[in-house]
Order: sequence, then C-alpha cells, then structure tokens
Amino acid sequence: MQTKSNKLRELIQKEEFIYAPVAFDALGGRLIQKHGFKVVYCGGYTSGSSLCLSEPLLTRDEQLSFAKSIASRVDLPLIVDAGGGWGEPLHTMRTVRECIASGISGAHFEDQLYPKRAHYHKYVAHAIPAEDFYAKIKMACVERDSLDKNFVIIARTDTCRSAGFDEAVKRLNKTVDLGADIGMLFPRNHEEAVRAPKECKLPLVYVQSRGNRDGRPVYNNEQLANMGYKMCIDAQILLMVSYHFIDNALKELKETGEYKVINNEMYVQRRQEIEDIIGLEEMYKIEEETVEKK
Amino acid sequence: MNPLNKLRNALQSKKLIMVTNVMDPFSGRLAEQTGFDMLGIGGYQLGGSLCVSEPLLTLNEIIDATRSVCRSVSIPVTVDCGAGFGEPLHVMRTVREIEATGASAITIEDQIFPKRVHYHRDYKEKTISSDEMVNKIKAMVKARKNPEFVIMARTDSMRTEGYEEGMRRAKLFFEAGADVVKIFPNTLEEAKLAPSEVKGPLYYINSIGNRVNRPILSRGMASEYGYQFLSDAVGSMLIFSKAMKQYYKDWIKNGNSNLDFDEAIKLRKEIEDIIGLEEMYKIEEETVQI
Repeated sequence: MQTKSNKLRELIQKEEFIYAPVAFDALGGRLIQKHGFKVVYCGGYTSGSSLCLSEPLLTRDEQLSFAKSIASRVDLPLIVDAGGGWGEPLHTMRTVRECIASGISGAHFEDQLYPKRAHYHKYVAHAIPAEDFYAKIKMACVERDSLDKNFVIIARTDTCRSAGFDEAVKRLNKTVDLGADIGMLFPRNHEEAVRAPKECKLPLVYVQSRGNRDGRPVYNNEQLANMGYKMCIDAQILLMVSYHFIDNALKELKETGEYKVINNEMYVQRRQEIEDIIGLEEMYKIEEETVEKK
Repeated sequence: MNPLNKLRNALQSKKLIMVTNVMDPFSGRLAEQTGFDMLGIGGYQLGGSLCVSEPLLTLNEIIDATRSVCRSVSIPVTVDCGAGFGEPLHVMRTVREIEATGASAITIEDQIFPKRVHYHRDYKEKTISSDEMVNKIKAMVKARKNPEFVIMARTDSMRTEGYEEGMRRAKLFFEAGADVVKIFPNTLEEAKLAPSEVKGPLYYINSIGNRVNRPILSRGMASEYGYQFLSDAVGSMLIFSKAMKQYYKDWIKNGNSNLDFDEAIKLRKEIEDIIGLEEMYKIEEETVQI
C-alpha cells in the first residue's frame, strides 16, 4: 500500500502545481478532500487561534494533536507547520519522529527564534544564525532518512524582511545540499515574489497570507503556477471563512433570535451532508450487523 | 483541607517537609500512604520513564503526568517545569496550566531554554542572566490565579559560577516573589551554610548517584541545617530499575518471579486497596446486578 508521504512525494514530482488549503479540524480536512484538493495543510496560525493561545504558545503536542486528528480522518497527505521545530536540532529531530508517528507526510521548519514571540504576528521576526538553521534542517533530514525517506521536509526562512531577499535565497539554496525537499520564503513585494522561484534551487511553496497587514502580495493559483511556484499553502482560509460566517450568524441570532441565511431545507440538506462526511451510514451498517436489530 | 492549604500550613510550621519524586499515580499513592507530606513530579524521572530525556519533555507531557498524580492523591504535589518552556510569556502559560492540574507548587529554573541534554553528562548547566530569571519569576507571580499557589525558583548557577552567585540569585529570587528557592550546593560546607544566609525557605534536592560529589543529606542533617524541604529526586526510578532488572532476569531464566506465594497474595491485595477496588465493588453492588 502506498503511504501518504509517498503520495505527497509523488504529487510533488508529478503535479505541476499543488494547492493546499489549511484545516484546523477533521471535518474541514474531509471537506477539502471532498472538493478534490490533493493536499491538506495544518498551520500554526489556525491551531493557535482555534485554542485561543496564539501560535508562539502552541506546544508540539497541541499542534500535532490537530494534525493527527485531521490526518487520521482524510486520505490526503497532510503537511504540518512545525514552527521552529520546538527547540534545537535534538528537539527538532524528536518533532520529525513524532510527525511521522502521527501519520503526517511533511513539515516545515523555520529559522525564527525559538521560543517564538507573539510579536511575530506584528511582523517582528527574529532569525537565528544561518548555521543554526542549517543544523536544524540537516538533522531533521537525518531523522527523516532513518524513519521514512518519503517524509517531506520544507525549509522555511523568515529572513526576507530582517536580512533581505538575497539572504533568504542564500539560506534556502544551502538547505538543498542538506536534504530539504522544498523551500518557503516570504517575498515582501511583487518583484521578489517573481524572482524567488527563478533564483531558488528547490521547488517553492507560496504562503497565501490572506488579510496580512504587511503588504505581502496575494495571488491566485494560476498566477502562482505561472510564476513557477510548486505549491500554495492557503494558511488562514478556512479559519477566516468560518469566523466570518459564525460571527455574522451569532450577531443575527442575538439581534433577531433567528438565523435566516440558511433556511430549513438547507439545514436538512447540510446536516445530511455532515453525517455523510462523518460516515454515519457505515456505522449504522456495523451496528445492524452486530447489536442493533433491523 | 485541600492539598494547597496543607502545603501552606506545613510551610508555616517551619518543620522539615519530606518529598519524594514519584513515577506515576500508583507510586504517588503508595508514597502518600507511607506518610509523605508532599510529592514531586520531576523531569529526570518523567523524561526517563518516557525515554525521551528531560530536555525533550514537552509541557503537555508534564501536564498529563501531573494531572494523573494529582487526581489520585490528597497531599500537595510540586512540579518541576524545567526552564518554564520559554520566555516570560510562555512561563505564564506554564504556571496557569500547572495550577489548573491541581498541583500545589511549581518550580522553574534558570537554565537556558530549550534545555540541553548535555547537562546530564557534564552537570554544567548553561544559565540565563539573573535579570532574565527575575523577569520569569515576576511573570510566574503574576500568572498564578490563587496567590497561595507556591512558586519555587531554582538556580543551577552554583556549579558553574560558584556558591556566591548561587546565593546572590537565591536572594534576588525571593525578592522577585518566589516562595521557595532550590539550590545545589557543591560541598557539604556550602550546604550547611546556605539556609542561614537567606530569609526564605530553601529546598534541598538529594540527587543520589550524581557523579560530581554533590552532597547527600540525611533527614537529620537537612533539619539541623535549616532546610524547609528535603527531596529525593531520582530514588524511585533507581529502585524501580534495580528491582525490575532482577525480576526480569529471574522470570526469563526460570519462569519464576521469586515471590513467595503467600506474599504475592498479600501484595496483590495491597495493590488493589491502593487502587481502591473495594469502593468500586460497593458502587457496582449498589447499581448493577452482580
């Protein structure tokens, strides 16, 4: 049987462009699958927000618990945001080990300072020295190679802003020799976004950061594919959409006592869909064969 | 009386509080029944029992272990949370999480974070500056919900920077709001001297089997020198390891666990009493057909 990490690796080799929306629960993951997307992403921003903790306070166990609960309920490979690896190279190795044991197919490791600061959400990102970053990526790859060679390691640099685009490209290009499969950087403008895939020696992920206040460009998938990106991670999309509609619904409920955007017919239909996605029909069958009389 | 009140009362009595670090809820109950005043959850043993080592232990692993011990005993539990899992912001979360488990006390040390495994070999802990540690302690004080929750601050600086620096930090930690300070004197002389040099209660950790001649105090000595706590940090694991090794050897070789038949019956009853099976039988008898 093909493992999911093998599937991810194959997709990276065969597909021209992969779009991976973020999920923060298994239901979201199943919806992503239902609509035909091929990879699901579990991000720190969404997990940290969902727990009302913030990403910098999110522990590895918490993040992997999100990732595991999604990965175990979908057939798609899952990529997880593994932040700064939760420590030094030794801790990063444990992170790789735990990811693989959790059924996760790939992870990105960044060169931000660890422990992470909440200030990063105000676009103040402190980078660790390049050598420390290389050591992390190198050991993450060593751990990958000893456990599951198909597990995908994504090297992420946050240095575009603090040290400049050239430094970011330099860092990513160095990680190719260390075994990284994909690179991730954060272009500050259109010009850098165009240059990145041309100057980096490894396939790149573009992080769609919707609603960012940093002027970071947001592109559609066609634009990204044309620019030469291999993948797009839509890092906030499901959280933003859920928040938007839940907030509106609660507001309307509070004000009017009703929520009319969804009518009764739609409720019935959606509820059936949810139960189908969860897989209740199959469970009924098992009960009927065992404990529940027809 | 809740465990926290018990600990606060014990602190006021000024009498030596004996602590043992436990491995799990069962050893916790066993220790409680033996008469301990307080139990500890320590990084060495927890990291060891999970085979990950203390420096790779996560906050959630400590929370899980602590919660399971706290719900099983009615005496105070103190939890070693290493370097607090980060900067002041992370330390605040750590304190809140540990307080919510039902523990009565937490310890955070002045080692660097992320922690390094090397300190297990060299006993040369890399420490942060006293200013940074004071900030962490202030954050701890701010974070606790119940002002009675006991904050312990530990300095690992005595070995690397000397007794004087360790004591300087102990004083600063008390000023910053620590209720208790843990120190690691290098010699018996330093161990004797320390309690008279600070106003607050000191916590002494017997680290048996250490390879740098850190002094091991008896109950009498700890009491005489003026320590408030005497803890055995690794004893449970050493005893467990020794006993289990012997048992495994006997069992695989002879198919015999070397336990006398009558003794085994007695032990098994003791274990079931510790778990509390008798009470569960009663509930079943009252509720479902047996």
